[in-house]
Amino acid sequence: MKKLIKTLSTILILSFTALSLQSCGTYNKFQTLDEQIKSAWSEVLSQYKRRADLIPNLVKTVKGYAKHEAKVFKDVTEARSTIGKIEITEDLLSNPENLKKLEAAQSSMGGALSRLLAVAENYPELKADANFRDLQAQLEGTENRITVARGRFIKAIQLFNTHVRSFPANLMAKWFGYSIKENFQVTDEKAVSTPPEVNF
Amino acid sequence: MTIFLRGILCLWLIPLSLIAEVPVPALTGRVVDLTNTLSSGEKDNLSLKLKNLETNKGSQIAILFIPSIEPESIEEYSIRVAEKWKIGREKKDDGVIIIIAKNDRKIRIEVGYGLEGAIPDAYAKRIIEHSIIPNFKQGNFFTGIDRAVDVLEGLINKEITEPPGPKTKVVSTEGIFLLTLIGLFLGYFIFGWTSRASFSSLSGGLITFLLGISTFGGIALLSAILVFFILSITLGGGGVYRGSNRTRSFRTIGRSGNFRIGGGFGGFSGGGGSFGGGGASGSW
Repeated sequence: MKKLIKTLSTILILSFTALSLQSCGTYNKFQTLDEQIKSAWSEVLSQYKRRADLIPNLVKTVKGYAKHEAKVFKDVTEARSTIGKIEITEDLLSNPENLKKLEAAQSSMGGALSRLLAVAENYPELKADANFRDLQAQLEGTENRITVARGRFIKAIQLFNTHVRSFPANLMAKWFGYSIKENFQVTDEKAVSTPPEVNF
Repeated sequence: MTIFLRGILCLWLIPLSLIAEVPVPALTGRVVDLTNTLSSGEKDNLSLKLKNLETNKGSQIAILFIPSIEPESIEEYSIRVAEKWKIGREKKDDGVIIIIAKNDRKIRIEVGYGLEGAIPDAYAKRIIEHSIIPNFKQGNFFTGIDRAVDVLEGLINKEITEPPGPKTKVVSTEGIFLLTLIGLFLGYFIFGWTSRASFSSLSGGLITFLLGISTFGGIALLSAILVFFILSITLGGGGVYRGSNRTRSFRTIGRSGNFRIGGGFGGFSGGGGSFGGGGASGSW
């Protein structure tokens, strides 16, 4: 009898310890994943900013050789001012409406910039300009950084959401007030699925 | 039959895109040549140069010749290689990877976070256009890469002044201590009454490991071993661990600070550097 009580109480304490350790781990994992999302997001924002900082120089250089391409310059300037109007704050992540707006604006900025570079192809002197070549390399590099940063952000959110959904974390997620976060979407599926237009 | 069906079902779960991607090869050395482009002498030559750079400056450069990276773009493939190889030191992120997709006639210089200042994208592009492409066009693959490495080395030498430190990994002692304590407590409590000390020690260690692996990860094993030894000694050496060895294992537990793991292997491995997509690409 005594032995039975001892065994039972051991099992009880053991399972209690295991459970509390487990929930500690689950909670800590929420924290880590949440931090990862935040840092991935700030990387995305800083790469967007990096691209925006390149624009004045790029436009100036292209204008020096291709004054008549008014349309592309207008597009770039417009995209830039749209982005400027969206307030970028820390809690942008918890505001899906604003996030969508920012994503749409950034993707039209990307489109405008690639049209600007396409125009440059028609001006051999511009293409040979050392300054332009450097700017072009920087822009390509930044576009790639944006892609990488966005990819990592999407992955961070996927990890978080999987953790929120999985058992037993889903029980604790409710307790700690965590819910599934909205991920980036392909904003203009039409633009992605249609091949780029080429005029000869 | 059911097993067969399940197998087919499992195959469906693997996304098609994963099958199509070219896998990242193992990092067998500083120069990985899957195309047999370089002679073994040229390969040694490059490897030695890169090794000297690491000895002097700590920065790592790795070179990969691969037949094709399609259907991915060279940028997509390159960042996957970077994430897997982790060239460059941890925290310093001072690694560079040169990837040549020979049949696709594409090249990329991928620059780690820490070297984005020393090697801006525009410089990386110039290296590709001036040192690499003219040589590649004539089929001089070694010369192109060798020149590129020289320029990269020059840029790194200008930037980095801090000498390389030892390659180590640090594990926190607090976690091990806490886990060991819990394991010991449970071990005494549950298995203390059994007369077989070896059984108690083994079970205690096992429990520590199972408890710790989800929360603390890798250090759970270390704690489990500690628990096992302490239990087997204090419960009266059931033929597992006894005599003169006792003092030694207790000394390990009393030590504070950080344990250092890793270090002097002869081969080459990435130091834990991270990449953010900086660098430049080109084609010849």
